Amino acid sequence: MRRIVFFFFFLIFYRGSAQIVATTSFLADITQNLIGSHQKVVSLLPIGSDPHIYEPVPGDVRILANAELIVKNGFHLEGWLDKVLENSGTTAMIVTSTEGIVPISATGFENAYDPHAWMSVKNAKRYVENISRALIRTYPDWQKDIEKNSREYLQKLNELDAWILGQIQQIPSEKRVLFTSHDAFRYFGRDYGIQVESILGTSTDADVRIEDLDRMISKIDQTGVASIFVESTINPKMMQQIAKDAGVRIGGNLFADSLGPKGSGASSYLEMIRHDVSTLVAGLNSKKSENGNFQSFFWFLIILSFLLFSTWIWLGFKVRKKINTQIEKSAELQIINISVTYDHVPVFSHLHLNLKGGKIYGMVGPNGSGKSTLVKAILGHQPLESGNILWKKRPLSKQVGEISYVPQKDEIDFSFPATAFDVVKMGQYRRNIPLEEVQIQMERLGIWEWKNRPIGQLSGGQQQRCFVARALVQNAPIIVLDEPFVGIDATTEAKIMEVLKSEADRGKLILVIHHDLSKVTQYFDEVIMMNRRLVASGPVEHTFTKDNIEKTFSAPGIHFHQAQQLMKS
Amino acid sequence: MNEFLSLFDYAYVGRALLASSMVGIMCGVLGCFIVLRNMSLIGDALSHAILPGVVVGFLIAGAQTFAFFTGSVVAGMIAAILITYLQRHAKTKNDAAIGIVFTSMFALGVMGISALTRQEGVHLDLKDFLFGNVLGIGPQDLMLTGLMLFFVIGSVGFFYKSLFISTFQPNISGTLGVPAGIIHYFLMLLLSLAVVSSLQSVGVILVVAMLIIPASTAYLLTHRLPWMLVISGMIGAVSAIFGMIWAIVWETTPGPAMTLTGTFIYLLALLFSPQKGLIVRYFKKRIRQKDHQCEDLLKEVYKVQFGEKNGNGRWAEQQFYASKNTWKRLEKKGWKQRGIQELSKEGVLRAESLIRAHRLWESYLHQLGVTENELHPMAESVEHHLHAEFLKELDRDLGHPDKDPHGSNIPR
Repeated sequence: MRRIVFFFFFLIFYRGSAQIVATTSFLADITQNLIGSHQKVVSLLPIGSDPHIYEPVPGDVRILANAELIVKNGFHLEGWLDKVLENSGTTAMIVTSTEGIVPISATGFENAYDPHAWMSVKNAKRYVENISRALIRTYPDWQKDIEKNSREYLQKLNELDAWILGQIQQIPSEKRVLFTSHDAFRYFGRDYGIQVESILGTSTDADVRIEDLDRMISKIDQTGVASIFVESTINPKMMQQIAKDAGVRIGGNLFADSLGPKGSGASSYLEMIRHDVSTLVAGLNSKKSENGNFQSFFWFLIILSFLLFSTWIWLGFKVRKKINTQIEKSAELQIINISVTYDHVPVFSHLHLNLKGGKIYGMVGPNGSGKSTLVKAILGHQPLESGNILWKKRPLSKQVGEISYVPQKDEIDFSFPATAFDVVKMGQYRRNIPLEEVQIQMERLGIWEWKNRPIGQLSGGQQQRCFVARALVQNAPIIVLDEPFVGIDATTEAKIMEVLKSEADRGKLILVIHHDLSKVTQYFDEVIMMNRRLVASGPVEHTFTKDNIEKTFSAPGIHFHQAQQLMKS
Repeated sequence: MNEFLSLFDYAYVGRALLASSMVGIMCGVLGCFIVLRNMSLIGDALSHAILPGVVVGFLIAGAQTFAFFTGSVVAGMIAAILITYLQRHAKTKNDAAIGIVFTSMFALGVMGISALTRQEGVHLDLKDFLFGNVLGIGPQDLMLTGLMLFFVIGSVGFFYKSLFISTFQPNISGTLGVPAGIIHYFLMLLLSLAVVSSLQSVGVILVVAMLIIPASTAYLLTHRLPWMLVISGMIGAVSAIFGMIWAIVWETTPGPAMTLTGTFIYLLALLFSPQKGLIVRYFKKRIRQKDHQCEDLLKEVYKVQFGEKNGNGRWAEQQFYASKNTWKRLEKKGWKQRGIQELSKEGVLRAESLIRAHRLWESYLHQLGVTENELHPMAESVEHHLHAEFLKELDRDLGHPDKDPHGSNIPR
């Protein structure tokens, strides 16, 4: 622990060796050339990042705080710098390299200058003078070396200047138009006689407007140039688009706001300018030609289509293949030794139950007795701790569509945009059942006249009739109903019971979770009595006894009162 | 106007319009299922979670459309799987699980982009990703969006019933032969595809608007899912096109313009929808109130006419708060004879059924143990809403009483 704390203090109070900091990579390069091997010059911005929209990171503040000399460009290139400087509390000397250069005012902003002065080699000479003066003032000991380096560098700049003029001469004068992403080349254009058109204006953080695109494309058409150019720090997509629309080529990558990485042929200031000019000359001198190699993209499209449409086929097999079920009288649903737990608390364990087709089973028990859990287990929604559920001697969970389920009403979203007909028709899905069956069952339950009503606008009884009708359309050999008579009028209740009886006579197995003990003898063939275990099950007349009712409802539950009354009678 | 039309000469304007209307249709149709499944937040989550996929795609294959696309879809699916896993198995609340996954993935993506731009010398603009760059849509993007539109609409058509069933009753769709889990992930795949194709035109933040607003608008306008899908798709396309035109004419950014156009259509629907609109509901409520006033007056006139109360028609007019309009309404309904203060046959029948409902309800409440003072106001508000069938049942249950708790006759 102490070591960690110490480490943090170390981080906070650690001051690196004092050094020279330049804001951008080209300034760092020029300064390094002037100071030689005496000092290391650090660039605040990494290579490739855009100084207009750079966002300083905490490390930058530390670097600035430790600096002895800070070299910046000025002309508002580093809009973000001032605040950081203030925060860092640096005592370093700050040199503005553009001092004394006649600025070009930026388009669209008053009192703002185009900062890209370094792109003209003539201005770069002034940079060298400014920086070396500051260096000498900071490090008077190395004055001689700095003066010598400065002379040599200026010589190189003069050579470069002459070379550029020669290169530009090779471009026919009417083709001396440079289309690029942002206005970094206006000083360059002014000094070497090239017209510069840019889409973004001087800064890169302006939004592109449709107008700008128009202007660009029509100008490209007018001038008839063969190539337009992208810049290393700016997303090339927009320019690629314009090139495609205007039918010209991307002439290449120009470096302006940052040097290129090592090996790119633009890793120093001198190389960068040389690279840009060569690219420019080659691009502007080339002939108009079509570009665009779509091959890889087309392969991608084909593979993608193949993948996507094969999911259709796979899913089609999963959810569209027809289900066939048969109704057999006295088919058996065997619940063998099942245990279910919720969060490690057992709901019931080692439950044995045998149900047969052709009968109506009523399941009663107090709240929390495990009725719904047992139904969920039968439906396969509730994983079993142990045991099996077999239907026709095979695992029920492996057989699709053997159960129709009428859910409890509060599980249903009645604001769903569906009509009564839509709901009943759901039962026909994936089964070889004609559409007429929907009408037959709806008429049987007396809801055909409401078929175009949204389900939310039906009465509770009509809604329940819909879900029962759907279960009948499904024609599955097992029907499970969860509290079907809650909040239902007596007529509907009688109607549903009548229908269920006739379905049981056809051989279906019907299981009803029920709460109204007074109707048990009237409704069911057999009764299943649950209270966190199977209390009793069997034919109603033998099983639904006072003794069993007492056992089932002995724990105080919502039906206790009712059970007591029943036992009195 | 001519200047405006001449904009369409430029290929990119046409492309932008085409792409955004395709996105509008696709998101509109898919959005219906998202809204009905209460998964609006998942749409938002997927759109944000895509970012690390973009970064990885870029690292592997460079600035290629297909690299971005594949990376995004894979990231979207990973997010969907993680979210579902957390919700089902990790005891995390549903919306919290969504929040955890997508913010983490988004953060990862932002860090990735920041690292890329610092170290590799590339320019991957987070702003394009957040807000879209509809003017930069190229033929490749267009083809990809077209394919996605075809696949999404085709899937919804081909698997319509599965989607319908598993959206309506996800818990029990298994018994209807629809495996809800598989459909859920399939929908997530469709959603990822739609979101990825929409990024160019509307960006991460506003994709959700394209998913939710048209669907919610359609939800107000219809009671059937097929129509909801069609209407939502159309609204999506319309808001995309008008938003785009708005953006061109007023020179603003297209994504927000599309969103606000959608919101405008939603507000129109909210106000003027024939069934669920606020204005229609307001007027229905007013009419109901007037009907109730009218029925109350009818009762008073009846009582006076048949001697249950002293006074004449004038008395009723003065005592009762009825306005001239209510009297006129009484005549218009044919309950009162014109000119004289006497009820028509229909009026008498209606008045008797109202009084019967009132007094039966009072008897019922009295039986439940409500004190006599409170009976009248409670019955007064209910009497207009009781159906004849229900009254019959009530009458039977109460044992056909002749008198109400106050001792007044209950008319047959």
